[in-house]
Amino acid sequence: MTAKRWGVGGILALAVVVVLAATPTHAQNAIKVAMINTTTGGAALYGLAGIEGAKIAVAELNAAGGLLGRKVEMIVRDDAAKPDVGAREIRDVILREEVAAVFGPVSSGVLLAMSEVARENKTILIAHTSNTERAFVERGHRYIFSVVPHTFIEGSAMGQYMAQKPYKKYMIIGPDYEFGHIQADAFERRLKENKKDVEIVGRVWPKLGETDFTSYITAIIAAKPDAVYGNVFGSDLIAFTKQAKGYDFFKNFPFAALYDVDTLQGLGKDAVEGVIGYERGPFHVIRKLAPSQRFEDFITKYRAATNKYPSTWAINAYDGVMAWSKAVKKANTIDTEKVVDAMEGLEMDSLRGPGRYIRKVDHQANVGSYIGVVAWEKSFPDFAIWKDAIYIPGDKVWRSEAEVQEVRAKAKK
Amino acid sequence: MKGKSGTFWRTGWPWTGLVVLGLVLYPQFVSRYYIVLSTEVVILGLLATSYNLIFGYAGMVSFGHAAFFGLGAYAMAILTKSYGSPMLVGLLAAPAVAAVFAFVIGWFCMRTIRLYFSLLSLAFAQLLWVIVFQWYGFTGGSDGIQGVPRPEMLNSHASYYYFTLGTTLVCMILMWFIVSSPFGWSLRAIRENTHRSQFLGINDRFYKLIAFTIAGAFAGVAGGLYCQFQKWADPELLFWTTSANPVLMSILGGMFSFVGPAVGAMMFVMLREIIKVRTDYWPLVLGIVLLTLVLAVPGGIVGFVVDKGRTLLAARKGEGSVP
Amino acid sequence: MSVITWDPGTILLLFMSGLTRASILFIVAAGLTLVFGVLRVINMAHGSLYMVGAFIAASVIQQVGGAASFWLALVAAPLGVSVIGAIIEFGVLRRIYQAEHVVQLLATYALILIFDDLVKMIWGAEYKSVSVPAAFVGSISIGDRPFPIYNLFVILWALLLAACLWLLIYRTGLGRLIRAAVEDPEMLEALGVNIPRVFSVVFIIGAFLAGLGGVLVAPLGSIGLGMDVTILIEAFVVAVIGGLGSFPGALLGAGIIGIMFSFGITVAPRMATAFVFLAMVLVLIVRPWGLFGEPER
Repeated sequence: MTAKRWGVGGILALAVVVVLAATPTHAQNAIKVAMINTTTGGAALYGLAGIEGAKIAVAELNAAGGLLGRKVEMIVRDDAAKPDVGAREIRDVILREEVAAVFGPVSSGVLLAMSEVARENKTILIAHTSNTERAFVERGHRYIFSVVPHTFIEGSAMGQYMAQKPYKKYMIIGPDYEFGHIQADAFERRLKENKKDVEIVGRVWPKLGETDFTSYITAIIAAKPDAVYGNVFGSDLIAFTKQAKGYDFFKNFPFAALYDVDTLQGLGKDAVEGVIGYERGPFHVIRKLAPSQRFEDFITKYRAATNKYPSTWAINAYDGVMAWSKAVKKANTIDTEKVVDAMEGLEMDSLRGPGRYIRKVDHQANVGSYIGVVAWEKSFPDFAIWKDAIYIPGDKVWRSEAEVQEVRAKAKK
Repeated sequence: MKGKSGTFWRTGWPWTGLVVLGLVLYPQFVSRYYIVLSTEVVILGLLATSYNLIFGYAGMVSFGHAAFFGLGAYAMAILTKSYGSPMLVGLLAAPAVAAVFAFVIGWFCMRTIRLYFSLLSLAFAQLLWVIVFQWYGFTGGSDGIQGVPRPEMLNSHASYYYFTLGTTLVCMILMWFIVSSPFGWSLRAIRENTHRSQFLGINDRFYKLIAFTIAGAFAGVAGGLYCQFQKWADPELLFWTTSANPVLMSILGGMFSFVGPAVGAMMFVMLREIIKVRTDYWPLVLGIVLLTLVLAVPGGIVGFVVDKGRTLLAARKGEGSVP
Repeated sequence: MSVITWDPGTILLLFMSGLTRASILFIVAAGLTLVFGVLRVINMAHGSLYMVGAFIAASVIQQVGGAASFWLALVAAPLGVSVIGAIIEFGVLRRIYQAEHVVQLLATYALILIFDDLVKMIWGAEYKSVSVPAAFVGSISIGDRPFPIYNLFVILWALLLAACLWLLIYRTGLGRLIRAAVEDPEMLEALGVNIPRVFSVVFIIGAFLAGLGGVLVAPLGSIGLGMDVTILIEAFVVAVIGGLGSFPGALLGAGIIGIMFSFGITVAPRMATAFVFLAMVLVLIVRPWGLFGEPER
């Protein structure tokens, strides 16, 4: 019996030593930041893009001599699109690696979980992909920032856009989680505000990461709406599009969904012309509306690294890192409180164009929604892009400061 | 148990006291990262020990234990977040809710044996997972419930660690008394030979049901603690892959001793931390470790452990103390 | 919930969609249930084999390209997965045939972990997308509604497979051994049959079926990590409801689940998945060995 006790004790002692010894060493004096994104699962498409975009930003910073004379090191972690994993990773990088800022994630559910940890440990978290408004308004706090148009901006922009169409009966399909619901709510609200006789005849919520949409497709067909609005995205949207084509879905129903650059590149020849696409930073539109050499350089670097064109997730991630570094330079320190102060009201040097500033009340950048119609264009033989594209700026559709305070007050009750 | 001075020092109690003392003092010397890690280990240790009540002591292989863990977490989350109850109410409700579900599920599961018991426990757990996952309005669906409030005085890493440690120690002592009682011995008898124990007049189904319910209740406590630790609850807690963890921990640390599963929990977390620093492929390593463990031991792990268990029991009988 | 017009065209469409899902489920569940019936092992890694099949198919189609690539994948993937299955059978399963179920479950669960990361290492973490093969693009009119031709192809394949398996099990010597193993394993040993060889063959057939399922499902949706866990749970439910070890059970179970799901999503989307697990629970309580199964000796 004593032998067994010693045995167990011995293993324990050994394990403790090993764990303590396992703390990794880093380059001395480097400023560490973390990118916690989804690299596995359906959302990996976006997560990997974000990581690449951020890497380019970090490389540029270091090439220019680093930040405040120190090298910037980016730690990358996978959140598997699961809130518990994301929360564990952010806690790990904050407590063990002591990072100065965290970027990410893709899933709004993960964002909310990570945001709690960031708040608890007073660390800056910059959202560049996930965009549930609740993270910045109802559950917003001092340390979270957004350089991506949140669900209210995006949904409202689409609501406004679709209100100009003649369709009366809508069916909504969205992933069954935070983003899907909140964004669809915003869409519905603005649509109904602008068009009085509109009716939502049904809503279907396939789970995030669904691979088989057949039943949902047939359910929509059975309900016979005038048009269908979707906020299904990424690999889910790719699967949906492929499957729906077989049912002549797009011939019979006008459809609007998040047809972003990654999704269109993923669909390739399977893309459907004529559907409405919306997203947060399509390079082919930015090129026309806000061209710059800096942007072209970014595209070149991105293509060299990944052999693909950068999607908005990469662009936003780049913007996020650059915004933070600009704030650090302005504050001349990486001390969180001072950097936060510097970020409020900061005028971003965004790849997406000028006029993108971060407002104080909800730490939301003035970034908006791009909308267009999917079409093939000669200069891009491998994947479809858009035509008739427009840009609706964030400050045209977001809530006023007073409204933000009102929503917050209501949430506290 | 605490007999004459000679036999006292040969029982487990002095060692236990030392370990507890260590657990209490050690946060003073380490960074907050390790404090947070230890909190997780303690909670998982509680979960694994609760699982072993039915696995090691009663011989029931349940694959749905995570359901009670998850239900406890959600009870805590919903009560404190949506209804504004104080945390202690949540901590009492968690085991209560878990126990109710455990009793109902257990009642159905007791009518099945061996493989079908495992499958039914899995099926029930998945059913609960689906309900939690889909009930977006009540449970927050796949997002779970975020922003669970923690009382102000427990808001630091260290203070929450001590709270968790205290609660867990109380639960462990309670569980210890249960397995050391005649009830506990009846469970062991049932595990060894159900028919014989029936002849002895033990109502095995009833005893197993009670054990299942108690195990579920303690898993619920662990769930409530975990919810407060993470400040959210999410459906993944009820998914069958979470159920595999306490099984793993019990086997790693030894399912025939009381502290085995808790040790297993610690080994599991340590292994995870060591591996994750070096590589992203933690599941691969875990899989290889598990596979090696299962294959390399002749007669399988259970056979090996049963043998060791029998040797230990015999040795202990000789020494005159209670395992 | 949505406003549905229940006309015959809609019902037929939902039925056919359900059959598509049922087809894939059947192909995968048949392998799972066969392996259990003969080897008495629940192979949790069955879903992983399916996933590997899908990834192999994706690679073949993307690398080779062109119209023939799908047919090549249809051959290559199941064969590749069969090889992997043989390796698993020889390396892992042989050692645990006599062990308790919990050991088998843990060992095959370990395989899931290993396969997940291996797939991630080899193919990367991104989801892959495979187009419907050129021969089957477009829709065909069923009732008065368009139905994807490819889905019809999948259903026909499943029926073909069901016929082949039926022939195998009820008309061949091997099939007789399989049936005997399911009903009375001890008798088989007493008769001096080369059990290890039968086990290997059956497991490889199971792996082949899993791989085949993976190829067929590839053009239907996205291929990615996590599809192993999803299909495993569903195949499990089908196998349990139909009866572990029963081939007709897998057929009926798949049909029930596939169609129930298809109608369920339309009628009560939130509850559809719950119904599936509820069915599993009910079967396990009322008749644990399933609709067509035999009580375990």
